Amino acid sequence: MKKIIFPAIIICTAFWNGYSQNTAMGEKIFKTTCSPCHHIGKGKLVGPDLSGVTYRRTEKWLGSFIRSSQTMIKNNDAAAVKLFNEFNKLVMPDQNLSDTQIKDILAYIKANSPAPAIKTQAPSAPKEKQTTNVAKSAPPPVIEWVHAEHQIKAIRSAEGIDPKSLNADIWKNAPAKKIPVAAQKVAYPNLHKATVDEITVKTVYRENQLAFLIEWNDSSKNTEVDADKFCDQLAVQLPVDVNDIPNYMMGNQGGKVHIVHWKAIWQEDCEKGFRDVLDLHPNMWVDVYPGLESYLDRSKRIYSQDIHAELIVETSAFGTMPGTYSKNPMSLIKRKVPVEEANAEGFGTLATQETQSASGWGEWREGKWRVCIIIPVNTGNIFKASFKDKTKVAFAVWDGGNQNIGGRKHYTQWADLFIEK
Amino acid sequence: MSKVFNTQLKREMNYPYEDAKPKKQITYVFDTNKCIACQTCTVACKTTWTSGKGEETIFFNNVETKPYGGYPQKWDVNTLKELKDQQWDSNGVYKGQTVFEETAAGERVNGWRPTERNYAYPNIGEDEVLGTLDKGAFFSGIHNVWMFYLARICNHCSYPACLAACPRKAIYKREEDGIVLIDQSRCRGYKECVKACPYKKTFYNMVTRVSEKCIGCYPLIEKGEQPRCVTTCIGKIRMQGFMEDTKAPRKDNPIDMIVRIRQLALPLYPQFGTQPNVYYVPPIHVPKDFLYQMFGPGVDKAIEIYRNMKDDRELLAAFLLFGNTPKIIHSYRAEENFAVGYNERGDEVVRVPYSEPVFMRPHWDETHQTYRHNTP
Repeated sequence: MKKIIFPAIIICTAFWNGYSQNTAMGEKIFKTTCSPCHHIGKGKLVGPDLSGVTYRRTEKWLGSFIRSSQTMIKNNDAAAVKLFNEFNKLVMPDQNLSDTQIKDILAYIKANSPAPAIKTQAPSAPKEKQTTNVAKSAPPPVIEWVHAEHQIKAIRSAEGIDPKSLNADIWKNAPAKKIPVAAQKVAYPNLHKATVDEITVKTVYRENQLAFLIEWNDSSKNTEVDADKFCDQLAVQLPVDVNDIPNYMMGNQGGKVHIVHWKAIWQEDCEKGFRDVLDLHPNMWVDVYPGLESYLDRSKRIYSQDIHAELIVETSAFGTMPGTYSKNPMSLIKRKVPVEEANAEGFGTLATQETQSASGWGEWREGKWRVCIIIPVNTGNIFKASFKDKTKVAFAVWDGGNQNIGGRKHYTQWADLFIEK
Repeated sequence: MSKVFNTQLKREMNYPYEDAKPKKQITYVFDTNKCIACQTCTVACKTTWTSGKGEETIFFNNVETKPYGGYPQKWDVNTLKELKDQQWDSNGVYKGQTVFEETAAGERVNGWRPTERNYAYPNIGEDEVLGTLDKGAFFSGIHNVWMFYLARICNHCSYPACLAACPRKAIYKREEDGIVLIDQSRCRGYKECVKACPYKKTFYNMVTRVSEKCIGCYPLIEKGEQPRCVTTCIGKIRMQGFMEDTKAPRKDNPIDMIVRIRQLALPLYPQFGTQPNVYYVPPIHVPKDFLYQMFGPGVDKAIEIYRNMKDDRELLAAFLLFGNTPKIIHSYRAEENFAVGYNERGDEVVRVPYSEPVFMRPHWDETHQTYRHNTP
């Protein structure tokens, strides 16, 4: 009998909660789950503005879309496909939410949306058609430059900026801007818990160079990588074409972003030489590396000193390091700068640029990273950012001590960057 | 999420990508009853593929002693912990969840990340038995303690978890033979595959800072030859061939005969849901409960068939081909006295007698004026 009674109770509870329209709970879920991509009444973010969405679509449709927009797109749901195309074919991740939770979210959205205006306009279908026609012939949409809370001002510098001079006078003159960061929860895999709250950004502009000094709190300095070790990282992102601002999360198809990425392990490589196995595991011992037998100590048949990776790449045993052999930029043995310049056009598309001219340097002291990144801009190179007096900029921070890697990161939205007149 | 059909679980399951079957699928059969853990396969693989700097603890192939051994340590129990209920119904349909189902929010695969210590002892638990041996027990009856050797490589899964987890799509499954590879120039070392692979057969290289995995010896496969770990096996426990699970099994394909027709060889931990393509003949002397968990519901039938194999000449012929040619056998025939294997073009590549010929020589050798001993 118990087996029959139990589900009945659960159904009753769901029913009850559903009608309680718990907006407080809805707000909580919205803030953690939806807000990285959606505003209510403040305009588009990654996804559409959800203001009034409960009046535009049925609850059933919204429920299905929240659970799996991908399934709806696959099943050719006209509205879902339209949204998908409109938002640069960015997939909204499936949300593992209960009926009650979805109802709560919708109640919250409804409570924060204005009531629908009395319909005096033409029916929606022809209007949409009209909009499409206009969009084709009209100039590109006007980019909004009003995010007052995320405005960064770059001061001009006549002199060159040395990335290693983190305490140079020029940085004292540059205004500091605090920008909040959030755990990445849009693309798989997610960062489950944010461990960094905000970063402090200072910016200096010099001819063809945009320099950033970025600070953030990090209680542990993580400069190693291994099977279970991760290093601290920072990335700065600019739109390549300032007249066509791409998605702030790694850009989108056809909307390229210019990214400069700094890693603590690259910094270690530059400071102390390439981090080899013995640096990480001092008691490691190997009898022989095939192809490197001639380096064995003849009498003892052992290596009397370590055969460093820097040496191996010069020998015929180079092929035993497949990543390096394949010229993978991650496997670079002789690294000169702790940064890499890349491009991206959406999640998972990060690609190292052919021309590397960015520089940077970082310093960890008393629970704080201070990292300088200098980005070449307006150089005429089509893979790099170009702009006149203003552009957008976004940042990402990885906390290696908490296993941040790849998409498991802290991010910011676009901030407006103005160059001092 | 897509719905794909997992033939080992006999049901549909969630997978992040659409089903895309290769033209043919690389498949292996390992007979655990014949393995002596000599590690010749391990060494052959190591010296061929992972002898470089940063690959010190990378073993694309390893042989571990069950129940205590495992490389990386506790790889299997830690993955089993990720799954909840793992029941099969009476029709052999899996009722529990796979690593792709009921995943944590924001994750595509339920996985666990080995620590550096998990890689530190490749031969831990080696030759250790479960239980203690009572005085005198060794001399009488059935052993009351047990262990067995489990040779492991990448399973070149039909639904690879490593591939599913890679945010960069740096891992791909080859259309021509189903071999799963990590693009060494595209990987950025996020180690999501290391966390996701339930068999822990993707490894992070601390020098190149990208991940590596078993490549199925694809340069050999492309020449029509079997991988190093297969051809060097002195116990002749291994065979590599191909299956096409979109088509009906062919009676003249030794792999089809063993895996799909007689169903003597079983996948390792099918409940993980990746549809692994290394099939194991289960050890016949190990407690059944252990084997059910490890090889699924087909264990009883497989052991019965194995015990009666001497009377099943078609099946026996397929087993005779193990380890007797470096060439990949695409089809075979059970002749009256020989098992004959053929390559893809139909040329004969190996001929193995059911019984080894016996040569008797006189005890006294006239030529050398000496006595001889006949050794079998």
